[in-house]
Amino acid sequence: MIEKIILKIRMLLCLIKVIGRRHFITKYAYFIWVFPFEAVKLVVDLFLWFFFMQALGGGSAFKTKYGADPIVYLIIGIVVIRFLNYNVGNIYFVLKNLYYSGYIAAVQRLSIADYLSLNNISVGFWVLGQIIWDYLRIAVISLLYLTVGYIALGTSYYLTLSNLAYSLLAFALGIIATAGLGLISASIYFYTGVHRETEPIQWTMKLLSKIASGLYFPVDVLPKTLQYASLLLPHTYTLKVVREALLLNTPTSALLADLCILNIQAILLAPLGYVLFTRALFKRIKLGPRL
Amino acid sequence: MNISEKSIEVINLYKFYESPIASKLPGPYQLPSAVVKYFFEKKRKKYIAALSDINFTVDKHDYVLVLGPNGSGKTTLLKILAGLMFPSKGTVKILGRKLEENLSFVRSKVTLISSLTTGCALFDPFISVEQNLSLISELLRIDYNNVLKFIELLKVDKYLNYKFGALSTGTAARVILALNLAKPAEIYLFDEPTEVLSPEGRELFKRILLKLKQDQKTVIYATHHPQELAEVFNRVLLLINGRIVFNGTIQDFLNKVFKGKDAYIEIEFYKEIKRDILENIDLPEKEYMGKSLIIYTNILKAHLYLNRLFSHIKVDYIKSVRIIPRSLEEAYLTYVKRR
Repeated sequence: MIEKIILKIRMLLCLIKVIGRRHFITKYAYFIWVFPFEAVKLVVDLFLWFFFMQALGGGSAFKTKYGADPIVYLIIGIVVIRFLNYNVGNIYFVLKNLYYSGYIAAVQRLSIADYLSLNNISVGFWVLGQIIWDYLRIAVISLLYLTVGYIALGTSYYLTLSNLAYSLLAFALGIIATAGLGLISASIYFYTGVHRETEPIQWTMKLLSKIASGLYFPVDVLPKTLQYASLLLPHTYTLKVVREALLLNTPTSALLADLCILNIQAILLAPLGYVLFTRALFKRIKLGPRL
Repeated sequence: MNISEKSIEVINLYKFYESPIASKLPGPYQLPSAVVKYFFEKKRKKYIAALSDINFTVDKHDYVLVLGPNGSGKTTLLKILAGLMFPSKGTVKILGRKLEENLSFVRSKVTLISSLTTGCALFDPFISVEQNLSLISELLRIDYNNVLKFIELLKVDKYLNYKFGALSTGTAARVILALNLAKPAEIYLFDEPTEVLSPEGRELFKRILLKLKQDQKTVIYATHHPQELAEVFNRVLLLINGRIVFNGTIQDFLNKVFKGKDAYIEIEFYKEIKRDILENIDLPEKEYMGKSLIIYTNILKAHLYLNRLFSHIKVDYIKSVRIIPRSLEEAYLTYVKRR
């Protein structure tokens, strides 16, 4: 049993290595070209937000209430939401890339998923490998953001063991809950046969996460209706716990209620997503490519 | 381990697809329409049968040609045999094991090499052929040296440093073919793989097929051009509208279609011969047009009819005589037209 698990982990690591190598050869060759443009864009975006806050009277009141400069507040929001929204949206896109190639010339062309299956490589494994690789990429970019916050803006994060543990727990639960949403979204692709344009679940989640999760501004400044909407999002609770722990050093007992709700969302959404997704994959192989 | 002598057994196989008719709604309305369909119109979904009542077996080391008009179900059949789709009804056994319950086993023993006209989804057009092959073989866990071996066999090794996207269609097809052939298997399923290959490419591919035959592999090969491979294969499976209408040896198929007249004698005269002279000669089915005469016959009896002809017509009148065996392609066309 343990040997099997070790073998699977080794296979997964190999797969991640190949996916990474493929990305480096096919995409990151352009990295050197793209990097200066992206870096300038990042700095300009942050300055825009900074000047905006200056025009509105500075961020000192904000800092007293929310424990950080608005830009640092925003940086943490961007880092967390980037991971969570990746989950909501990208499982769908990873799968779309896997299967879409099979549609171009009707049944005759083999999709990437077909090639993987023919070589006994599980589609689920590929999706997992791709997602882990993308997490690594996002983690590097997020570190860059956090470092900018630390060096350029002199932010002091409360990096105690308990704060880190609670932040990571909230982050992990947020990841599980949004992965559930991502799987539901991906299965919609198979159930409806719509493989172009908008998928309603990820559209809703991404839209609400921008306005109601507290990404750009605290939830308590929003109108009541949006505050109610924010209660439904795993993003809201994850952001709240991470920010309160790292920026305000809130006592851990005060974070338990949010963690509890996050936990319930993770317990409900992840298995639901898994069941819908595996049923959808089975339907695909049962009915063939003409879904 | 009990390994069956039969490579493939297909019993009462049916495959249904959802109706392929496209929605008349423009793009933006397709999503709500699809959701409404899913939740409210479940019972009204229409299915079409891509395969119906398919029964056949393939012995080990058999070389089977699958023929049939467009849309007759050849690709669907091959995809099911490769374990890429499940049957809607019926049983498929590969090397004695049921397909659905032994997917991993089936996929380790079977390979499907599909039509290469549209390329391969795994290749990136902007990097070199070599980089593509090295990445994909690592990804699919195929021995890279084996890939290079087939690259040499198909004579595309000089293109290894080229950008994949810069290759001509035929060369790209050979590269993809080499990659696909590198996966070792017991059963090879081919789905019109030579579609875009030049005659030299086809010749090279034929050599590979003969090598597979020497190695005692089982091959099932769907094509619209059976003649170029007729000598390599020993059996024909003819599909029309998703049903098997013939399953047997190539010779049996020719006999069935031509009713024993598996060749024709083509005689050309220097000048027109009077029709009543020809009518008086005891010959089997014949066609007379201007200065030429065609006699359909069994190839073994051709000399008898020629003797009869020469006894009635002076040899000086005859410009040329050719005895031509009737082809598998002709048999296929005749059979399909008759139906």
